[in-house]
Amino acid sequence: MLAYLLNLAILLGIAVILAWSLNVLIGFAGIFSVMHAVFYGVGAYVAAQFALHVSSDFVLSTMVAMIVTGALAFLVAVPVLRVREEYFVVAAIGFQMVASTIFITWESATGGMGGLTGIPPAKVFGFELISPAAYLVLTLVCALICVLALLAVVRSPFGRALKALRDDETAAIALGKHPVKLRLIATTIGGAMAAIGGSLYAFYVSFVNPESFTLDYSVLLMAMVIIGGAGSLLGPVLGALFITVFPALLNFLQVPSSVLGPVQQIVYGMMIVLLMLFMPEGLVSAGKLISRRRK
Amino acid sequence: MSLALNELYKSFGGNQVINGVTLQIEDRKVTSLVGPNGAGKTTLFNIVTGFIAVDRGTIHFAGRDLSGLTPQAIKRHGLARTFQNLRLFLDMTVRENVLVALESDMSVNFWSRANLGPVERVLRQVGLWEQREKMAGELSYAERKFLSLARVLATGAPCLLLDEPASGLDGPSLRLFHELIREFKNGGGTVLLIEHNLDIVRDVSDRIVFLDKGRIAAAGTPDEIFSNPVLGELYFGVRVGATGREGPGHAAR
Amino acid sequence: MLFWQLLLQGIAAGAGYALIAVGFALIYSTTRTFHFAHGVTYALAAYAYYASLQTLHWHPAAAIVLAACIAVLFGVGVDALVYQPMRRTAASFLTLFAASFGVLVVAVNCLVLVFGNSFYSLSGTLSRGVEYGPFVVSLANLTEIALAAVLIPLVLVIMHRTRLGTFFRAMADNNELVEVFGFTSRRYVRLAFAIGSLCVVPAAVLAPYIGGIQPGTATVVTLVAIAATIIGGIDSIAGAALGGLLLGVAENVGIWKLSSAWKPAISFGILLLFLVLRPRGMLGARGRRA
Repeated sequence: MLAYLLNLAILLGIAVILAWSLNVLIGFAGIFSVMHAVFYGVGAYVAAQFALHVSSDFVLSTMVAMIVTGALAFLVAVPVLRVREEYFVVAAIGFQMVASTIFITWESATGGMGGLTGIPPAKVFGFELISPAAYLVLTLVCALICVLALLAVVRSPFGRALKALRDDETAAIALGKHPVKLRLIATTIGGAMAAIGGSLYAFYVSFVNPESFTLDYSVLLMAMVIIGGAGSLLGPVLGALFITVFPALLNFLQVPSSVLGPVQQIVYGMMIVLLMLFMPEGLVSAGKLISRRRK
Repeated sequence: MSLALNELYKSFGGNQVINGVTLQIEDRKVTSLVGPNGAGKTTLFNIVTGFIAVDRGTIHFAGRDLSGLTPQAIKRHGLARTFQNLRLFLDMTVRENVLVALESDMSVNFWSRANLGPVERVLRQVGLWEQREKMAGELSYAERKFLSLARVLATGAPCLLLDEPASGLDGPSLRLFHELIREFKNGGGTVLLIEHNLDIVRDVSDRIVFLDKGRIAAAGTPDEIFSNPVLGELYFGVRVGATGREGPGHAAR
Repeated sequence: MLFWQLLLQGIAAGAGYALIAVGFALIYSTTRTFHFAHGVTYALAAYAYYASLQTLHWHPAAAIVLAACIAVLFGVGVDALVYQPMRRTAASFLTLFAASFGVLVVAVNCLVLVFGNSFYSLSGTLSRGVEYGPFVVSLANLTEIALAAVLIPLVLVIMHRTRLGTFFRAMADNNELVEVFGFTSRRYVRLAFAIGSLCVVPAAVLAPYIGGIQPGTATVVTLVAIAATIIGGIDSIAGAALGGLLLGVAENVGIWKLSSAWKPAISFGILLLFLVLRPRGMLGARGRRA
């Protein structure tokens, strides 16, 4: 039981980091990205290859992963951010499909369908992390670093400029803000943060393969941010919690595994539709709505 | 630092909206742009501040050619504008709205030294310091108009283009508005404003430019313009001012 | 030789994509709604036809009518229940898109629960191959090409030579008018969704005879339809048809040289190329965003 909970907690921690990183794009920069699993995957693959061939030091591997993923996010964003909102959504999906195919076919880098196995345990300050408890601590530390970084962004002129851009782009432009530049930086940050999640995953599970980084997972990440509430720091946490814990709940209620998948998806889908109709700001705005009712 | 518009032409789908506008906005003076609806006033603003590309003609400010620059670059060169529909950041506080205007050139930094000094100064000027933590969306009509003004004053730009900054303001607010414009002028600033309230126009302007169907129909001091019966008929015959003031001509719709 | 065979298959697939894309483009250009659940219309119609034919043993004509009714009901229904309430609250594009996406997810998974994940196909006269010289092509493919060749021009005729079409095009040109008069032009919005949804029915009905149907097809089809619309030029219905044709051909001819693992990526690769090099698409007008 403890092992099961530890595992769940670690996966939840990774999901939260990923949801936060996607929130930088969706919530802060207003970029509706349905390809975030690609950054997650690239981060995981780079960290894995680094651990396999250079050093299994966690900090080093993660930094390298962040740099590569951040650079990739930047390069992808440059052409793609110039297009209109509606196109961007489809372009992102398109990019995800292309990336999934590359993950499968670029055998030398990704190990193809089989993926990369035998990733050594993470080393922190020379200590090898073996037990799940150790990985949980590592995940929590990473999550803490992420939330501090996000707080810094939100309170900075950069964060304010992004918020102004979301609020009224024309006015922001008139006041000298550069939408493309701001969104590029936000995308780079979001991509780099996703690499942290990828690195954690690669070391914890000790193998990576293309199945974890598909469109389905991108959609799941998007669902976490939307259901929880984009734009806030708590929202993605709620969303990640809901989506990670819910399947476990269904399992516990002994829903047959053949229908588990579809039932899960139906519930997420319904929640998204209902939330968008009645509570577009996500679960996190429940408090706001209740206090508004009381007035 | 004067603003010089030279032979501006702009057409939209066959419609010649700006039809040869040549204008010198004098330094340290308030110039008001008046004219009936559809005369092209806001379009002129959009052209000068870079939101619309002009078909022909040039724009010079402080000796620099601003034609073809982006709105952000134009703001950097010292021209800042407000909007007729304000465009405040409604989900941000009063203070944050002003901060965004101040911080424009540091948009990539993550660490901000508290800009509290300049923010406080501007907010006290417009009388919004007490409301600094209120959401812009919760402000009254007059407060919103002053926040829009505060934003553009905070940019520090020496030349302001104000689109109907005083419409709908009552007596005390109008006086504050006058004060602000006067202070700005005395500090070396230049103002070009669009306004329909002719009382305000008469009181605050050093010069009035009358735009009609995309070209300048007349220009001169307030006395010259207001004593011109032809203009009075033309203008009053087409529109009733924001204050409902009707002129010697027949009342408009 | 193989190339020409693949080309033929590509044209048939393209005909199907073209029909679906035309439906999407019609809905988008007139109502400015990004109907991401459009692929569900296709899947529902296909399953309705299949189930009524195979399980209820209806006559094919009746089955087709059922498929058409379900397609229209779904399209109009989603608009009435999901999109219209959102138009009232001036929901952002992202909110609307997310809701549309949610509908897609729910519908696809309901189909999985009812029909399972495997491919269903029908065999009959339509699935039989016809030999034409050195090529073999199924009757279903030929029918699809024929139907597309007739119905797409029909849609264009409606758009350009009827009063309804004139109103549709007015809505397309002036979407602000749609927003302002959104309430009074409800009838036309509903009609746009109805006709747009109807467009997919020929392709949906023939699908079980060609590749078979599977719940996941809804998602793939939606994406291809949108890609085709963008490639063709977001406001051009003829462009969407051309885009669909191009993608169908590219996908099938593409695997001549590339491994089949690349098939899903081909369409998107083309889309990305267009977005970077020619965002207005093949027949689109130059951007006119305010």
